[in-house]
Amino acid sequence: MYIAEIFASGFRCFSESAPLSLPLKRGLNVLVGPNDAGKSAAIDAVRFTLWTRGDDYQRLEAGDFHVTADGQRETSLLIRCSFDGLTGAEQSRFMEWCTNESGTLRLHICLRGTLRPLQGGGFAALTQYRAGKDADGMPIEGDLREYLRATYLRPLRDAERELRPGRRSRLSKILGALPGMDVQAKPAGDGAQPTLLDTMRAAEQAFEVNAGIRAVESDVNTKFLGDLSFADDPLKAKLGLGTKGSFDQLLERLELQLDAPPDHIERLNRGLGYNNLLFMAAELLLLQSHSDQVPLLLVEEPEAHLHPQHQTLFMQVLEEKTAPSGANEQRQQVQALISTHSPTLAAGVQLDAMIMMIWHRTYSLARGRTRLESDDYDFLRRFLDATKANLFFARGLLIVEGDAENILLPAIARKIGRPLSKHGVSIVKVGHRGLFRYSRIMQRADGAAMPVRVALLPDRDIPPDAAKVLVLDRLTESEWTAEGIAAHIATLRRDEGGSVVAFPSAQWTLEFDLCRNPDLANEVHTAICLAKGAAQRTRQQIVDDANAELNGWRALPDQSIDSIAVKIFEPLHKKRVSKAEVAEQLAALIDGLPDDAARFRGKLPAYIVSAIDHATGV
Amino acid sequence: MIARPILTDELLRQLGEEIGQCDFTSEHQKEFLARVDSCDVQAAPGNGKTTLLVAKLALLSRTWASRRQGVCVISHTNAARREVENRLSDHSRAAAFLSYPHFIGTVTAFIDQFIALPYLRGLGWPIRRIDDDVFAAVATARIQEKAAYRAYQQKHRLDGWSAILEVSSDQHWEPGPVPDRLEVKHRPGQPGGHTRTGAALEQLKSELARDGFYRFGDMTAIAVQAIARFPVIIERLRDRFPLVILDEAQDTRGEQLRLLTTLFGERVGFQKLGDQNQTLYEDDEGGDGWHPAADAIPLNETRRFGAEIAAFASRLTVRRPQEIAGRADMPSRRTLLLFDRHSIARVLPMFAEEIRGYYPQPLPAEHEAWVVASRHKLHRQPGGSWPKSLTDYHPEYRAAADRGRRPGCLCSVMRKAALKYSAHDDPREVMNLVEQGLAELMRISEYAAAMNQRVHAGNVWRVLAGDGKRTDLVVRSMIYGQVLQGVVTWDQTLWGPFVNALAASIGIAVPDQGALVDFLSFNEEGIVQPGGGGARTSFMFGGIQLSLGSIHSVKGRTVDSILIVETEVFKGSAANRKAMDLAAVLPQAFGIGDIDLDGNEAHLSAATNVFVGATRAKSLLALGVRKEAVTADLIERAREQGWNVRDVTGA
Repeated sequence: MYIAEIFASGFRCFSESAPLSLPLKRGLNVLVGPNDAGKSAAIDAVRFTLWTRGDDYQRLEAGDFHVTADGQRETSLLIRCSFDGLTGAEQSRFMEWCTNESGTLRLHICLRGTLRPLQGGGFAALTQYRAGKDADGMPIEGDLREYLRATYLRPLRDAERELRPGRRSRLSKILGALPGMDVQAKPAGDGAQPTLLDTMRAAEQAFEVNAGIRAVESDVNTKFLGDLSFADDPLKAKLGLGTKGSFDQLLERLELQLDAPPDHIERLNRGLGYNNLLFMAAELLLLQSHSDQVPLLLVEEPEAHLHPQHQTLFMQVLEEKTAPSGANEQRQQVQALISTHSPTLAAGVQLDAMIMMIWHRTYSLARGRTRLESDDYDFLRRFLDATKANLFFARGLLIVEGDAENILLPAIARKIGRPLSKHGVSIVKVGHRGLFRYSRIMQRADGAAMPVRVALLPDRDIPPDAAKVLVLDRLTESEWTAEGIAAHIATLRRDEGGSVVAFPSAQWTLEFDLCRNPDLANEVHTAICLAKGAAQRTRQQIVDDANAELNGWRALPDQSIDSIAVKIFEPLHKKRVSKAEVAEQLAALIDGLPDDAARFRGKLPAYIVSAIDHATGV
Repeated sequence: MIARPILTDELLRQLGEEIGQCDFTSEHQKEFLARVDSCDVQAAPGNGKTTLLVAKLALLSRTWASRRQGVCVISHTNAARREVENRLSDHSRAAAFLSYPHFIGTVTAFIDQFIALPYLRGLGWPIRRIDDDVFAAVATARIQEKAAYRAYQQKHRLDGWSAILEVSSDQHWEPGPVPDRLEVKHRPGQPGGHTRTGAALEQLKSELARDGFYRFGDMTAIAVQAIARFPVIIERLRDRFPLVILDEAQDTRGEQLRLLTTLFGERVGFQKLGDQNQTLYEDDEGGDGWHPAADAIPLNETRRFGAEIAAFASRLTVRRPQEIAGRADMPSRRTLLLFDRHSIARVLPMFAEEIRGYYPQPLPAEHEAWVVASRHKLHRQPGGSWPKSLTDYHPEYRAAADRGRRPGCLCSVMRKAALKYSAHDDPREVMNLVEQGLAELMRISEYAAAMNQRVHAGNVWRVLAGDGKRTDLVVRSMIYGQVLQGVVTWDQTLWGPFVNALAASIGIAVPDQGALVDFLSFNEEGIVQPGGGGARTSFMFGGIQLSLGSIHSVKGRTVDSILIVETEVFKGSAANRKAMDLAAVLPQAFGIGDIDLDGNEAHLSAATNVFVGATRAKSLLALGVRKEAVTADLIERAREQGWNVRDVTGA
């Protein structure tokens, strides 16, 4: 069985009026979103309700109850994990806890919490664990309680401690539960290889007869303990491995560590990250080989301590392990719920396994829930890399085609008083293809608007007549019919909707539009000249030359704004100069302008200002 | 004193909205909402009393602060309890009334939970099954083994008494073993304890108590005994529940009603809601029923039907006269169907035709049309009055099977579980049955559980898991696969191998004969097909589906169309104990003459039955009556009152 839905109301950031309702799939589910979106609360909701393996039992506290907008703490909460896909064995085993929903047995596990004020201040949080959709079924206890425990890997887990030997160590539990271990827990039959138990017993015996050990023992007993004992109750010390009791005690003496190089004797401490991996490997092994527990894995921020390449590797392993098992495989399909704010991890996951969380609301990206079409998923699987995956964490997005926008827009936004970083806005550069494929991620199938404001900046891409010399056989402005242009613009805007708005450039491309702008033409031309460079000239000389050249063009007869813009734009169009480098230079020049925000706004083409205002939430 | 908010118009509006577009502005509704002292409420059919009850709890939830005291809501049936619970769970604050310190449950659950079971446990007496059917099966089997049985002439009477043996309440028991004889309630003709046969019955009752078998009625008697010995229980319950609301008060009677009155007659608000005019007795051992006080709050408005049906029904409010106010916006069709011996088979088809003619076609799937009668089962008495039962109108009708002779055997219990499972019933109740069956099996076979624990339904799985081999899982999967999803309980050839495998898994050796063999054997009773249960209650007439049943079976329901067919009401052979129901009450119902229906037991019963039947319908009410039983004057009156009269004798 697997969790089909997590519901939480009155818990942490999830109010009664806007509860968490998180649908999950079999296999992998990845929660992505900015800080404070509610990712940890969603995972904690499961931990509180199903409990986890290991000894990290958590108590519900007053702080876990939702605080309403007017500052009142709720006094009741309900968390429900609804399981679907019960196997026949699970149905027969847990029938009395199930609900029969027109012939299908489902298992709803609820935690109902009540906050009761104590006399003299403070609160007591009371909990009830019950089955049934409204927590009205049987209490969750016994066999089912153990079966439900999830495996939880918390962020920054002290993996090294978990893997060390010791009483009730996690490792001993894992080892003890592995299927191959029951044989090792019994003495070997005649002639068979000695089992772990045999080996340990033999060692224990060797200790017992060792002269050094015996000398110490007898010293302790005769010199000290004898005097401290009552006559009828002599105390006797025993020095040894202490494994005489149960097999558990034996396991508690084992430790798991990364293999040191052959010539090392000293214990080798690898980095925290590697220990984390080691620990995850051990837990995964247990999760998969053990049929007596729900194969549910909760991982919070696995990116901690892992460098990017290792994050990608980790994701791949997880995707494999959570895939449906093959026909000949003896393993359970693990369901995993993972929270992350690593773009690297996010980029490594199938899009339809992702669930975005923004402002305590969830938006599953599963097929059918977004406006993404089937081939969009394939396309994005190939092209959505770590450089673009920051889109999952942004509060606003500018989706652009090229480098120029990518470099220029932050400078422009800064100058008009809406710095992108301050507003949590990311720019996603997608090249010439698939602008809309990205924006459709942010559009819901049901038409609901996501709270991420997306501005698309496609090029209008119709050169002016003056550029005919540059584009030759391409149609220029006057060669288009009015209907043709209207249809073209409509195409650029066709995927608007929800919080997605398209802001096509005014004429050709962003750079060209800037060239056409009398107040900025000078800066653009200067930037192009700086990017080209000139031998033996200082920066100031190049700037002065550029000014003079532009003024010269402007003084020529029969010049229009377009014809001058074409002259400025020509080196860019003919790729005599790098677009990125020009953009860098221009950004520096813009930073250096003495204009205040209002004045600079006035200089810009209106669509750029609108796009930035939209993405930054005006 | 119970704190409660002041009822303002604004608060009433809020309540109405929370409960779901309701209106609580009538004077009497407001009075009931406001009161927390003892009172009676006489509520007309369909007046929304459950809604009002939930509204009252929603109102109290605003100010109810105590965590030690609660409101106790007692209903008669589980259906009524569930309805209140479901309505409450939709209300964010009032949902608190679903759990401690409050109580919502049936009267038997209340008596068991708070008084009878704690008392029995204190005595140290075992409790195995509280179930009339199981008790009857075990008791009749055991009495036949007694010497006194062989000596007694009228064996079938002795069987009958044994099956319903109940302890009398005026006894005094001490903790320790069950005494050798337990005094039992005296039934008509039953030999007293001083006779040999009477002594055998008392011994039988004691034996069964020693084995933990009880009747529901025993629990009431035991509770009465408990509070007589320890009156402090009364005070404790009054402390716990300052407000007690008895729903469906007309169905609580006799010893149970007396017990509740003793418990809550003083010091607490004891509010009884019901409709005295709907007092239907299932059997003759009724006892005194509820008589609402003269100043009972009347809830006269009905939301179910219009003024015409209301006027007709009001003239049948014999037990407690009440003028029911119908809805102005609900027109209705009312039809008298007249028949004779030759045309009785045409009554039901004619009713179907009435439905087809009155409603736009096709009928919506949820349209409910019923045919009901005072008597509905096959009858054996030849001669006398006619028609005797619903089967005279439609011979194919079969009521759900009467209780079988072996309700307690493993096959019956498992079959019941399988039926429930295939009906998508609550899996918890399915497993409850399975657990009961297994517990019984393990007890009869004297299964040796670890640490000598007594096996009962609550620990079956734990005991089975105790052997360390996960036997619980093995048994569960056998039952899931073969009983619930399979057909072993319906097929004798599969049942034998199944029980053998089951016994082997649990570790029980099955001997060749004895109690265990009986318990494990196949039960052939009532086999028609899985899911069929042998009952046939629903039929198509010309494309219209009609449900057939007793008047009792439509109690508490709202239906679209209903036909009441005339049958005999038989309380005994004396002249004032039997009557033809419609013939007896129609003159009164149409306002001819003024017979004292209250003075004759059979007449009173007939009036109640017709009242309950007639007040179920929203818009189509039909009565099937013998043509010879109605006068021309009556037909004239009926036409004046807007009834259609259709004579099927000549058709």
